[in-house]
Amino acid sequence: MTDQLAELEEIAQRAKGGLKNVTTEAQLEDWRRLNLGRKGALPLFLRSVKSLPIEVRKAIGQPANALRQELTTLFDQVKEEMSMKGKVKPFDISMPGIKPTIGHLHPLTITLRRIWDIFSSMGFQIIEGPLVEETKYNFDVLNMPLDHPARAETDTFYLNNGHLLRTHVSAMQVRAVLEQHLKPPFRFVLPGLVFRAERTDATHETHFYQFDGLAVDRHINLQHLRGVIDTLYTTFFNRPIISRLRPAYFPFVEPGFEVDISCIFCQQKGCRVCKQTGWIEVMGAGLIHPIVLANMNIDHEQWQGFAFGSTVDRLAMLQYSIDDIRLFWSGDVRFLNQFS
Amino acid sequence: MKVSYEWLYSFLPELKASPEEVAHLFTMHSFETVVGTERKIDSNIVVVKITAIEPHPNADRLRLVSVTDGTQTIKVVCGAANITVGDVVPYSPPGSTVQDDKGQAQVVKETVIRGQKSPGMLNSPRELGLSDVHGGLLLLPSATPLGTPLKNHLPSDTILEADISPNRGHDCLSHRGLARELAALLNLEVKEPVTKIPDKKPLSSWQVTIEDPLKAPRFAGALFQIDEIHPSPLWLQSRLFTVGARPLNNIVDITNYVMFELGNPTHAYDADKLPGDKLPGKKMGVRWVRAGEVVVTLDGVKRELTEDTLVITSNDQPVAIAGIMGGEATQISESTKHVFLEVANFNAFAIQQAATRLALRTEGSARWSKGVDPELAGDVFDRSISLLRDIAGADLQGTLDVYPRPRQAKTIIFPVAKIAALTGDTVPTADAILHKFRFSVREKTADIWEVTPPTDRLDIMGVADVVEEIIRFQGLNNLPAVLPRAPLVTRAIPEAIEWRETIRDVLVSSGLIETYNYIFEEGDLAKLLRLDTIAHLDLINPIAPNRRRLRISLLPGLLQNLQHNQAEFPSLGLFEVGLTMYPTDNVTTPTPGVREEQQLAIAISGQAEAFRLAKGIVETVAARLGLANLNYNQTQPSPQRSWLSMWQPGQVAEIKYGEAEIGTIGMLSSRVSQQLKLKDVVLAEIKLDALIAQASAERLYQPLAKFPPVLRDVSLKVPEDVAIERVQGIIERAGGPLLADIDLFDMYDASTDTAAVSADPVASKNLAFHLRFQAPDRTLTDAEVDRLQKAIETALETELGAQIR
Repeated sequence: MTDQLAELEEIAQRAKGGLKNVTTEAQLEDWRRLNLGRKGALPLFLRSVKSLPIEVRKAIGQPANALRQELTTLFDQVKEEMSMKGKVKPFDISMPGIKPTIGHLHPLTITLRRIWDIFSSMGFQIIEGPLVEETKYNFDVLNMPLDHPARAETDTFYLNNGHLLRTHVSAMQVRAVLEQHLKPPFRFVLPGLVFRAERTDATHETHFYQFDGLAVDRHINLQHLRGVIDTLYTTFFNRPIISRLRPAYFPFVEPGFEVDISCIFCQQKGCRVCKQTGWIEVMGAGLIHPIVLANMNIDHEQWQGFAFGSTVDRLAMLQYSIDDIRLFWSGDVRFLNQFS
Repeated sequence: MKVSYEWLYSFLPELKASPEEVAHLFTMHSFETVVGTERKIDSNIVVVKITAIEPHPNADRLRLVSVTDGTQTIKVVCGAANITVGDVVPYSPPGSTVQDDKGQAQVVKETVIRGQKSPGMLNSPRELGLSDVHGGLLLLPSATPLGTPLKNHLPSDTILEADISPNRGHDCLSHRGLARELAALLNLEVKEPVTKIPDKKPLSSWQVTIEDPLKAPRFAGALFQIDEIHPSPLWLQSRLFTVGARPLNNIVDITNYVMFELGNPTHAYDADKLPGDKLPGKKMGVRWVRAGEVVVTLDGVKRELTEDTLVITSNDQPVAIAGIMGGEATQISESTKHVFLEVANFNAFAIQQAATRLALRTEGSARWSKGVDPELAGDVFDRSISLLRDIAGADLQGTLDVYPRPRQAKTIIFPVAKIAALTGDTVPTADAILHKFRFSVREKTADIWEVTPPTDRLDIMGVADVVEEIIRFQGLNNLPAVLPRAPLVTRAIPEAIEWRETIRDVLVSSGLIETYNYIFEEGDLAKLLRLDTIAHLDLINPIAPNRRRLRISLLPGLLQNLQHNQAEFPSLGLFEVGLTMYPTDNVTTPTPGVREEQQLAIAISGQAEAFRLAKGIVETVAARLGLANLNYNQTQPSPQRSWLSMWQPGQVAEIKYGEAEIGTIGMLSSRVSQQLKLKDVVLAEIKLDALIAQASAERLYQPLAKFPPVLRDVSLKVPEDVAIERVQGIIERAGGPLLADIDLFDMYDASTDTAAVSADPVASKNLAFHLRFQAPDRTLTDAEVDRLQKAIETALETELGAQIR
């Protein structure tokens, strides 16, 4: 059997070597006849092994057939090359693709939509409201009467008609409940543009987007609030996030706290974004103040709820590593082109 | 607030927690606190006494100062002006470390200054890292032992920065307040600094009148006789430096010290200089300012006051702005012999408003603005008296205290079940926690408690506030996260918002880029666009005079965006979706008198056939909303529609859907585009609310045609003024029901081609349409289609005088 295998190997070497010298179609045809034709080397060999015992035939047959297939493919390939020579040029596959003209959504639109998606999946309705707001909704009904120190500290744009540009979307809390005739239990999210009359820099703008969320029910408590907060951030950043709750003061919640999340950039090792603390401040939250519930015409003996508020621009900046909040309002296409 | 760890420690001898641990505890249970700077004076810096001062031979501003540490005399160059022979000052020899003007550590070297050797230097508070003050050398009390290390007298300290939340300004803007808070969190004992003064004798010949006791609930005062005004002891100066104050003299320093210690600002007057009768009797008062009254404050500024400002008066003449700043005329000076100490209480809002009006934010006004417990004045009074006696050697002549309605803390009826209801946790130790925070708790029943906060917790008003105390002690951060169980909601996003977002997606897939612009309209641009004559809403406090008005159109913003990007993107398509706002007489709008309208605006520059492109995009949007057949009417500016003059006359149309006005589309006028240096700009402005009101998601499936269509073209020349719409109308009518579709595929306006015009002087245009014929029930024959095409061509010839080509 080793004799036959050696013979087969010789046929293969000879055929492949011979093909290298083929330059014309006539020579190619001669090669085919010599190697693959009825009286060619390989068919003759195959016929010669027919008389051998079955075991040997099996052992020889497989490599022989493989060789026939290989030689046939080589023949087709050389034939194709010869026939197309000079007719088709190979591509420079490194040439750049032609890009279709596509537009871009503003990064804040993209971020707002992500926030809606997360909250609508948790059953929070989306409610929008006016930018020009009554002082009453922006301050008074939120437990910030005229003599409240926090009210004077707010940098508010006032209008010549006695109204103001809302300084926070919390201005919609009471308005949404009264105007939409909401009766508990309910859950909603208030996304929207807000305004502050302050000097702008890389982290401060006169215009920015916020969202508030509210839920009112009979037994909804601080633990549920944390459940919703954790779900928001782990879903938004699509990775495990640790939240940290620490006391803070907002007149319209009690108890109130601020939420930090574990820094998404440095795994809490400390970096520029988290100012080496490992934590990024993202939200204010708490249980809705009984006075605010009363202003919603809700009996705070029967019902209770939570509220939270955060800045959309901040989330977008974290998500895309944007280091200057003013870029959102620059209208610079070099910036806008980067998002879709 | 700057907090001295050393000061806190003096109240809490058992304190084991490090400054870092204290900061963390406050952050997690009270308010955000961070560790600030550490104060550590180099042990090589020693106390010396100035023995001689000579002029520097080569510099007018420098002097050669000889000092002694008790054993040897050293001569150094010094630039400070506040020294005389005999002063005791710090000396840093070569090799010791001081701070430069940027707070960076610097090693002192032996130097030569203008030809004079200076082995080391005498130090200012800033060089010692005590404060930002660099007005001269730190003058030490004359009894400070010479040659001893300065650090023995100025202990090391760590400064914490506590961001006290507004609701805790009542009780925590002081070291005692913070010590009490920390004591509650760590279960420590507070060593009280206040000693009661039992032997107060009344100032019987003094009178106090309070005009408005609601705004000035308390006015206490004490008169002292003083031997000599001198610098405060070093330990007291040191603490003032730590919290960022500047020591002046023992009397003023004590008033400041007590404020930082207990939280109640006070003020000391030179009693002999108070207007009115000579001592011992004065007529003091607290009242509202009268028209035209002026006070020259301590900082030498003449303050014209408004009538809603409270002043302290003597003999009815204003001597200080209550709670904000004392007057220059009655301030403590080296010649002061009698001191009148005012320990009062003022209303938070009154002081806050006045401080804002005067733009005078002082440590005192900041505390009043948050609200101070009038009960606190009692402790502050006693503490001030004992410090003035012990440190300043002041001799108490008598006291007065006008406090008509002492404050009572409000008792809260507290249902215990609320703890679990609000926090999800029963907290069995709740009453012990409240006790730690100095609340009194009385069990009325097992379920109902009567809870009374200490008087200085002005922020505790109800049940929720009490629960907050309990849960913040436990640690909010220890709450578990639990998702609520709540009913399902089927439509979370309102339909109108979904449509708006769909429109955004259509615009993006049409190749446009979304921008966001300020709602503040730029005055000059609005004027150029003739928007300025339309009524606007105006801001009282705009960021700039040119940004006073709120936008009534999104187009100015988009034009600015085109301009801004023109160099890099000469061909650009932008859109914005946003709110515009107008004044209205309507008071039933969400905000009465204000109409807010959602608009969509598109601006495209540097594109061929820009008008058709924009129109196509608008129609794609409409089609996506299920609206077929928008109507376009030529329009032009009028006095009421001045803004239409931003568009090119003859190249602008209003868009309607049925009777509803949807918007405007057209080319930017050459007047405006030249001014803005823009080219070929098409604009569209769509009333989004009106468009979305018509939207419909309903779609009916059309059965697919079973028989093949026959495609033909027709090409014609018509006079230039014939509208394409009219040509299409004739083709459709003449083609009848078998003409399934018609599509303009070529258009050539011969009037713009000079060669063509000279060949054919009649202004005309060439049009070419694809025609698609199709029958639902059979394959059309060529003969049938030939007949229809002939009919179309005849109709075009006879009705329009068209030339079929």
